[in-house]
Amino acid sequence: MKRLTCVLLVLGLGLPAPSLAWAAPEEVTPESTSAARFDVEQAGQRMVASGDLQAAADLYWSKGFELRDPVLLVMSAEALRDLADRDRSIPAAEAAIERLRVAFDMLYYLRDSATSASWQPITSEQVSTVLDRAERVASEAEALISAIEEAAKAPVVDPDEGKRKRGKAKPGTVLIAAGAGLLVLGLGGGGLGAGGLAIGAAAQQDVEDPLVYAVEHHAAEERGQRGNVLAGVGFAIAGVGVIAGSVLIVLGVKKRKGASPAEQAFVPAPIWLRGGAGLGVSGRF
Amino acid sequence: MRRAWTLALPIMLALPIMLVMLVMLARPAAAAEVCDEQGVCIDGANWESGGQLDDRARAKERKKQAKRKDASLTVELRQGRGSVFIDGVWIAPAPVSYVPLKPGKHDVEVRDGETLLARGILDIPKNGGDVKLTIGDE
Repeated sequence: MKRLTCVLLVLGLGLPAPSLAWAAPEEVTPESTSAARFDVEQAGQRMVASGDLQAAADLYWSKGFELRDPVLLVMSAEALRDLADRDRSIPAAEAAIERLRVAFDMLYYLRDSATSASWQPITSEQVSTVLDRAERVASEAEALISAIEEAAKAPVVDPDEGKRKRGKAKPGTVLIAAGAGLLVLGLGGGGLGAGGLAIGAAAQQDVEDPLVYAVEHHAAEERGQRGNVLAGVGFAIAGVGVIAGSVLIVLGVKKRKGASPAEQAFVPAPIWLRGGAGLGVSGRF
Repeated sequence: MRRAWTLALPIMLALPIMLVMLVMLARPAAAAEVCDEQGVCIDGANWESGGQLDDRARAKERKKQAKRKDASLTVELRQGRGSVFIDGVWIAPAPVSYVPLKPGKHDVEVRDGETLLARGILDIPKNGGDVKLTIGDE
């Protein structure tokens, strides 16, 4: 009988309900949420400053759930986006997008549905601002994923590759190049000397012409002198350039001949012909 | 004779007690799951699809049902994801299990971002019990 009475007492009075997953929340207002968010933000910013973005993201996430605050959830996604950017991590970017989903649920509900004064974590004016912020984070995280995937697909470019392709200069190349330059300079000097001779010859004709008097005669003399100077300088340059250039090219060619056959291909060399001189290129095809 | 009374008295007392016990232990018959055209299936309560309550109606319901015993609500999605909102408050991402709710009317919404998966008024009977809301086509 005593046992029965005990059973009755238990059943009649009812046992307290076990702790349940959800209990009616206290009134959540923009002011109360903002005040609660402040401390979390401070703690999170310290973690971000120390480089621990994952810890900051997790703090914002857990507190965002606890406070039912979409702003903290967006901040969690922002921290993960920054982590993904820093570490080029696709999982971090994907986690950012995943965490935004809950924030989007809350924000669209606050925008579109029959909300309650019991749960107003942000003002109705702030909803569109936070939505824009969340959408920006989502698109940035998606862009990061694409960029990281593209970078993984692209072949690794070695900045020294171009240099390696050019390879080491063949033996004698510097001598041949310098000789070719001097040769070209000498040929130019020859042209200048020839021009000076032509001017001098024309002036000489004027000077010897008995019909040319006084002022014109004097001008012809000056022209002749200038032509002679030009011819002298030009032929001097031509002599030095052609001789020095030819010597350098010959030395370069000799040096190259001593190298391996593969290195001898396309050898520039001076060419001496009856009517003049030039620079030729010989090689194997 | 006296001995007969000593036997009968406990029995007479025990009978009504046992009757009370039976009534208390008796659970409401498990209602069959009912599904609407939107693919929302309800078990243990009534569902009015599309309805919403305002704060005034919610307060009125709360006051009316304050002394009643909690029912427990479970919300599940057959596919996809979404968050559950009850009486204007975000609860958690689905599935949610054994959310204590007073009998009476409650507005329930499930959404995946901008996409509304289910919205309606849940009418929980006075005897409470387990209520299960399943969303999405099979």
